[in-house]
Amino acid sequence: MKTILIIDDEESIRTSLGLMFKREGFNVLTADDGKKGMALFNKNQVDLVITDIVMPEKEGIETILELKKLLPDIPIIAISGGGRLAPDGYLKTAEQLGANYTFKKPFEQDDLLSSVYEILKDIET
Amino acid sequence: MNMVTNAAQSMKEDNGIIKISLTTESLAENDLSENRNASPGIFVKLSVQDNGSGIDPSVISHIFDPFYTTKDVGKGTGLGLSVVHGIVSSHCGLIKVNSMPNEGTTFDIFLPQSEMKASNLEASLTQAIPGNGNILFVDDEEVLRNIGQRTLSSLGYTVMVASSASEVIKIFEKDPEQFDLVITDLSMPKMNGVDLSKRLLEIRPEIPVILCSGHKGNITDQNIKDAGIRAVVMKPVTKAGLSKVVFDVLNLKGN
Repeated sequence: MKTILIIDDEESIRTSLGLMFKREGFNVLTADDGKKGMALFNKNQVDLVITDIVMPEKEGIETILELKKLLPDIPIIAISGGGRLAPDGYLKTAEQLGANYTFKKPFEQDDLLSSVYEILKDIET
Repeated sequence: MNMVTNAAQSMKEDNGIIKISLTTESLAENDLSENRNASPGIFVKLSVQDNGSGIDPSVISHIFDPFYTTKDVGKGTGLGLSVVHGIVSSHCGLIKVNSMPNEGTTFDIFLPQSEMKASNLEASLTQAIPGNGNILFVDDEEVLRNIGQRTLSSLGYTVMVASSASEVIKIFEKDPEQFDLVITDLSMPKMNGVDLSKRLLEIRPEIPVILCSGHKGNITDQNIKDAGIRAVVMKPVTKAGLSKVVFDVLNLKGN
């Protein structure tokens, strides 16, 4: 069973995505900021990380940097509503740092699910 | 931090000065060549100045390129300034650099000055719109019902939850005027949100209904229109997104 780590300060996002992935047969870990997310990542075997960008404590860009430093091949999907500013800049930076896919909120859950399957398929082939 | 670290690394171990300053400066159109997304106005200027070895002119045009580094293998990823540049650009700011070999380096980061006080920033960042009214929130997943109730209550609404279409219909038949709005999930056992909306409009034709869904599946825009649904919110739902749709629908702007 693959494990997905979801890092987002919005409870509704963590819960909604978590439910979707659990229904699909994934093991799901969630955290409401990058600091807690990194703590979970360090303690568990994680196969893919979905992270928000604008978060308290430790934001997504720094989280992506740390993840890539620890495990350069870890697949990452970055999501962002951008806060007060447009999310495009943050997501572009996330891409530059190695995020496999980026999604601007609001997005369709099914699109995110498809990208997760794409990433995991690429890893296995 | 990244820029101060770079400054320190450019200097000899026992000798060097790093100056950090914060001022405001007005920038005009012709000052903004480094970022076309930036607009003229008042900027906060963060300067990091060192008296280190400086940057060679042949290198300076590459310093913001991702993975470009002049450091030895294993000493740097080349991502630091690229990330700084990306973050500053995404805030509609810009970075200017002045440097000559053996004469030190100055990085000036310009960020648009905010008109808001820090205490207002959290509200502006979430962009959630409060409101009032009685809402019936329907979802067959208990955890999503709980979150829906908490989210809408925090916005000022009075919320009742239901777990199925049949439960909603019973509630409505008992007192059709009780609610100002119904928010329903699309995918529910026995009767989906679209069919529920049609049924509710038979009981009370003017009741606004918002549909929440992670995917439309076989439901077309015509199906949604025929069911009298005022708006569709895609899951995962953000608080800000939901608050705006609810506010607009209740204030008769939703379509």
